[in-house]
Amino acid sequence: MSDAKPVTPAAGDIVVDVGKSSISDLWKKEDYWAIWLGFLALIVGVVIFFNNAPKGMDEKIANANAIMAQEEAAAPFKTIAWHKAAASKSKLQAAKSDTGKAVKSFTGKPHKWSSNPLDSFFMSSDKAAAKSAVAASKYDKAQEATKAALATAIAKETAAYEAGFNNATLNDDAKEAIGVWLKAKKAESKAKGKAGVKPFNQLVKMGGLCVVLILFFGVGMTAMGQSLPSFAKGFVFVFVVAIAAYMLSAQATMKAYGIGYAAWAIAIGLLISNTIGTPNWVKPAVQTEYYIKTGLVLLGAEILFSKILSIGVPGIFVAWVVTPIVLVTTFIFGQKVLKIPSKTLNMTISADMSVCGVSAAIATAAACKAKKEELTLAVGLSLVFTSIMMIVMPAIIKGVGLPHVLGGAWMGGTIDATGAVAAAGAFLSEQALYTAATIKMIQNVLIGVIAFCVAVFWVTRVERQAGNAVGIMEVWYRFPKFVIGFIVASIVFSSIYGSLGPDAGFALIDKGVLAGLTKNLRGWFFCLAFVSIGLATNFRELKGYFKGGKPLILYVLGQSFNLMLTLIMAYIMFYLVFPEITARI
Amino acid sequence: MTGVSVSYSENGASYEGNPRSSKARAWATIATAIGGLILFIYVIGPAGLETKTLKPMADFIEANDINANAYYYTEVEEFFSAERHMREHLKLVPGATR
Repeated sequence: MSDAKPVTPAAGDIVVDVGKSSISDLWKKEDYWAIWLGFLALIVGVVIFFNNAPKGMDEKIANANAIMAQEEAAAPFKTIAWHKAAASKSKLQAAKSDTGKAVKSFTGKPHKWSSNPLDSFFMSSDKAAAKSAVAASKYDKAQEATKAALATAIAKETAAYEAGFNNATLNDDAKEAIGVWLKAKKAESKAKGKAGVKPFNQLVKMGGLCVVLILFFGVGMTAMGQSLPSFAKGFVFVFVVAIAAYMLSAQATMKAYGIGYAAWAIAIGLLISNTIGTPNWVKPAVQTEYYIKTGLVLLGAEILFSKILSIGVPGIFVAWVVTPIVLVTTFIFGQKVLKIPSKTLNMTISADMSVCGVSAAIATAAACKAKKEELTLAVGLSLVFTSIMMIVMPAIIKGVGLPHVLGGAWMGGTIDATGAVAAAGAFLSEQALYTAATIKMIQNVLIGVIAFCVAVFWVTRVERQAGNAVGIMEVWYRFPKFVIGFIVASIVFSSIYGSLGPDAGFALIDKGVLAGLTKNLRGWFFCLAFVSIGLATNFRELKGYFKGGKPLILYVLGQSFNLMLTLIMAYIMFYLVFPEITARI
Repeated sequence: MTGVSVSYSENGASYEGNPRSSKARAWATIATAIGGLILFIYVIGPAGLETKTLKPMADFIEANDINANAYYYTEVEEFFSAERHMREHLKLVPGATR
């Protein structure tokens, strides 16, 4: 994000753009440092988690797939053996190895808490044992329920098998009983988690992480000519505020309202900078762009293109056709009709509202060099509307009686925040959750393409002076280089994932490199960036961007258009063009 | 005695009036914000979640331990089960993933 104030050239001023690049940019510019640091973290992740693959992974996957294929050929429904084989595959996770667990825990965030904030950082053995004991009886009951449900499912499946799977009634009975068993199993798994509370001391680990991050970012700061001790001193303060933001977002009530760390990080930062002021010794560590760009390179690895086909062609239409239409339309509407003075604010709100909230806002704002106040505004709008839509949309879908696949696709395509989509979808039904989550996941992947296109559009069209063509070197000079790291990370990880296949990819990437290391680091980097935004923002300046309520009008009208278009597209694709896919969800 | 009213800035924050009283006002604002936060966490927030509109969703999120304030799909467990479900159930459907 740019911290510079908007500059309007005076009449007669001639702006001559001369692109200058030098080899020293590679170690003097933060864009490149974001790439080097991002890739360093990704390489460390690959080395750790690929060397801690689950034992006998390939053999176990092959066995499970063979059983699943055999069962699919034998029965017209998914049998107990099929589900057991599928479950055995999903247990294969590199992040569950001893090393993986240690790394994941070291980079972890404050834990969930309800009434005592200290529970977020520390839990004694006695307290953990007491909590486990309280949940133990529920776990015992859940285990018994699963056992009983499995016995019924086996009996029904055997009856169907003995009829050669030719009796539709027996087949349906077996399918239903298997469904009950799966639900009981899920409940048992949740109860097991609550009955197995382990002691922890996250405060010590976060202290260690703070030191590691000082060295991690400090290398770049030193190379860019900053003082490492000054940066380190300030970083401790920024990191402590980030811990506070995470702690508040982990509180049970905040989780229910869907208020995440970004809101808290900005709010605490704003409170400090607009009251007692950000201390001068903290300022060397207030590095919004450095943190955000490094986080975005890590986010690139989470943009896995193989996920796009998860729900087939209808999903692509809902997530990859509607979204760009809404993005472009609202950008044009904001410029031509609402006449929003700042193009970057317009684009950040459009992306935030049409793609997937905070993460899209971060990527787009960085790609078009939006100001920190503009990102703050876009994130704020998204958070408010997400909380409302998370409650209202399932109620409307239920009230109107919309089919749950349609409702799920509608919510997945329109609710900004990813976590809220999961909550709203699951609240409605399992079918709605599966559709909503898959659509949202495909939309999440779109961030990479959107950020790249916005960066190109900005350097070639928006920043171009009237009547002047932009040469290729000029485009290169202006292009935000970290976007290259972001895209390369996405391509490399998508290729590795593709070559591994979905099962090994899940074990080593989804539940290895990403879940065990880079996802946590990315979260910390974004949180540090939001703290920095708060610490460097003046309320008065922020108020100026909201003038005339145009950002709010843009968001409301854009979201209304998004709601309408997504619903129409979801209906056409899931009920008119591909009803056979809908029938199998 | 009349106080001297001046504009000045410190640590990037702008103050009006007597420096000492403005500083006190800044700390009072922080104390008020912390008080408001405590009030929201322990009183207003939970009371809001008890209302007819919010209670079902709040209870559901709590019971199922859903990470409702996550920003990306890799942060939410439900997304992986959804992807797995889709992959397994849409096999061999024309136009769907294989």
